[in-house]
Amino acid sequence: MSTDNITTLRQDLKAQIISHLNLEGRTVESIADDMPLFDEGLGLDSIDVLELIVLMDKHYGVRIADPKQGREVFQSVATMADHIQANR
Amino acid sequence: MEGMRILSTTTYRNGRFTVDGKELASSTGDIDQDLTNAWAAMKVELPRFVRMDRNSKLVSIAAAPFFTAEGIITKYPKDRIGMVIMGTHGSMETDQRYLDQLLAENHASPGLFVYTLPNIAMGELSIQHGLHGSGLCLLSEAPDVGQLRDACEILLRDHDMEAVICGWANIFAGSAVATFMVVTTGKEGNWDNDELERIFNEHG
Amino acid sequence: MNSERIAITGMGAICALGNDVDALTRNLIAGTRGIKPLAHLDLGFPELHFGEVALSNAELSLRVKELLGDMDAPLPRSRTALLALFAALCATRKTLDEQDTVVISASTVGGMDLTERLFTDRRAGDMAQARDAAEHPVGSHTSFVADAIGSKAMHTTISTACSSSANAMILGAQLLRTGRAKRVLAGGSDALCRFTIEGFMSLSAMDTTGVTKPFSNERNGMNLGEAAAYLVMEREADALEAGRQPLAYFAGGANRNDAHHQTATSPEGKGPYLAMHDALAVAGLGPDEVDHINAHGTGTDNNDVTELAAMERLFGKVPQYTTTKALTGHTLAAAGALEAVISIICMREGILPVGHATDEAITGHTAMPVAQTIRRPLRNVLSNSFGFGGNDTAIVLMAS
Repeated sequence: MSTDNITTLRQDLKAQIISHLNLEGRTVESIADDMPLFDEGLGLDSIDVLELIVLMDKHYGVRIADPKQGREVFQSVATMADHIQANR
Repeated sequence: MEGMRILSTTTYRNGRFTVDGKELASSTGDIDQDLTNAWAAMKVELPRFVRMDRNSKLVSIAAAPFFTAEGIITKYPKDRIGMVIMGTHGSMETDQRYLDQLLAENHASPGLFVYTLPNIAMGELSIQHGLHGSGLCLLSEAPDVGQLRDACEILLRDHDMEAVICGWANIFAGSAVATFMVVTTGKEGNWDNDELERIFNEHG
Repeated sequence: MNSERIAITGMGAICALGNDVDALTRNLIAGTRGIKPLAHLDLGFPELHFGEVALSNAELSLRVKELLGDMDAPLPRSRTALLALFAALCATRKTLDEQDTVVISASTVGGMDLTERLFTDRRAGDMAQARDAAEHPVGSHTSFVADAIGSKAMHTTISTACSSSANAMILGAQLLRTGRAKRVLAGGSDALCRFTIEGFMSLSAMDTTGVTKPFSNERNGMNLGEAAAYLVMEREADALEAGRQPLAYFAGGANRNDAHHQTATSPEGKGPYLAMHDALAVAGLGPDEVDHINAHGTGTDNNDVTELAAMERLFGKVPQYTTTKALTGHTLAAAGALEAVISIICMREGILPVGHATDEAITGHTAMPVAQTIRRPLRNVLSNSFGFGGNDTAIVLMAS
């Protein structure tokens, strides 16, 4: 996949994360590709993992069967984008 | 014989937020902006707040003044602080948002589903402050001061609680109302059913 | 505080394991399991297993009318309310005058099962009307129950998720002990509906492979169930004076908050530990005097390991325990009361039923649940009900 497409995918993901998780006051620009999504960083929690799993399935057709696997996939927007590319 | 003693009272009436009669925030007419403003007035650092549903925000706001550095409840052990929260609609507003999304988009949001229970607001409050006491969440058509009194008294006298956060919180159809108190037992009880009926039913 | 015993003098229940207390008793003794795919409710999910009550709403309505002795009685249409009415009327059958009976009922679903049906039956624009339907609020079923049994006393609705009806019993006992009530009908009801099923699916909390396997390393979620259960509670002296023999005693209970996460229990099970500890203290029982634990045991990854951790910390040597949620499903707000009824049946019959038999304990732990039906006398049962929002409750029932 071309660099442009990766960039677009990452930007799209950021926008979707903000809207799906109701992150008031967050802008796409404020989320770095490698920013940790959990704990420090964006401060998401285990329920947010479940929302992101649904997001990935609905928007990209990529299923994550085991929520425990979720923590690795959802470490950052970059890892999410990589996982989508590899599995869609 | 000891009486029921109210140490502090907060009220929230569609944006007008008072602590022991002193106004901390006023109404803008926008329910979400009002909640944001009232919380900001408390100057509490809690990233979780913006992620909560309105019900949990309202309960967090109404109880926040009790937990400031000089807060009236901070001298009590965290496993001896109880809660009795009563309302009419409970989590109905969030229930409807969740159901709308489920039926219209075939999407069940786990983040919304979690809040489709009236007592989650109490849970959020317990997590915020590390409270391990006893709690009751009651549903009633209107504020029932008698029931609130009974419940508080039972928690204080029969369940080893030393202080109880007791109140009414209801958010539904554009209206957000809460009246919270810290209740203990003490030599001079000041619980006055009539006075409380007036306060609980007064609309700001 | 009055130290007089609180007697349970009536009980009514309906769940996947039996359409009334007699059927429930027979099935517990026979080792029957009540969890299977849906047969009556048209909710979808053909691949999932549930603890469904084996009656349609029409059949339920008929039975309620029979109990009311009025085949023309107007009835609510919500399944939650119908289940509640049936169980409440069964529980109060023997007491002739319920005017003074305080009703404390619990639900999480309330009329939601009806609302979601109304929505799909109508155009989107009528959604507002559907919502305003009188049965939608969680508290509406309590009013139906109070009216049906002829109560003129106070009634109240508790909604603390899965610990709700256990909390209803604790509050009921305290109202009786402090002389604020003469008699209490305490319990709860929750019906299966899409709202709940989809919600727990979205939390990855359901066992999608079949029947739940609680307290085992193979566990991967819960089965949802539906039920209603109510217990009549009175001061022992009042019961005996009216010629009613106690079926069991409510020896006390405690509710504590885990204060960790909205849906997950702390790793060490702090809330469960405190609730069990305090419940035993109220009941005047030492840990070594507990004969049996009816565990919360939902079969989820988090609940079972944290509940086990709490039990091991409190007891050292954990009493024989089981989870009947493997037989009835997780009946949410009704669970506390239903499992109190089951515990009383177990004490009456001298039986410890199997929930799910496992041949090894959860990794890192030692105590395993009962693996085969045991027949032995039981003097008491500790019953756990832990709800979302960290609302953790334990109650103690004693044999009469």
